[in-house]
Amino acid sequence: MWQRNSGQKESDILQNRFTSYLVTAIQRRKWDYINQQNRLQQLEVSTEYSILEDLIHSKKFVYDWTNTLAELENDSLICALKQISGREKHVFLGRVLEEKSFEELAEELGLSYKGAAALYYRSIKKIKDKMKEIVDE
Amino acid sequence: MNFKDLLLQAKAGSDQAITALLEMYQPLLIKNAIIDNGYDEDLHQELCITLLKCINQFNIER
Repeated sequence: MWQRNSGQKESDILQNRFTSYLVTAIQRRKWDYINQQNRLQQLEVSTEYSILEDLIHSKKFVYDWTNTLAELENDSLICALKQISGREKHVFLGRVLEEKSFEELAEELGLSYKGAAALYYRSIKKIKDKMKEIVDE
Repeated sequence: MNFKDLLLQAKAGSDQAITALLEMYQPLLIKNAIIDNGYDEDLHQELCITLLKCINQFNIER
């Protein structure tokens, strides 16, 4: 049906241009959407019940960061944190906020010391990239 | 059919062409509808709407 896009023909060039146009629009929309959700969440935080419920439902080893996140004022950081995986978030926040060592984090996640360190630096890089993406727009 | 014709038809309002484009870009939309490790249906919907807007606003002639 669809041939692989070689970027040579006029139509392929047009498609590539459309795709990148679309990607930018989608990322902006997503960014707005996440901000919107954050605002809503901050309003909801005041109802005690939802906090309790969150605590009950949150898994043992993944700490519930919802309230901590609500206190952050840096929108692009929140946005970036929402887009990385749970393990990456756990390592990043555990190291930065709780000042845990890589040994502790590795044990919690069932990784080796090197694995935890690699995960940490990878998540830092991802967060930086995401934030840059957001700021650039 | 090449992409340019498809886009032109979609711009003209052909349901078939719009559906084809929506299906074509589904993987991209789904990938971007993931926040906090979870698929967000509402966001996916919003992104589909964004795609429709893009079809209308995109300038083919540049």
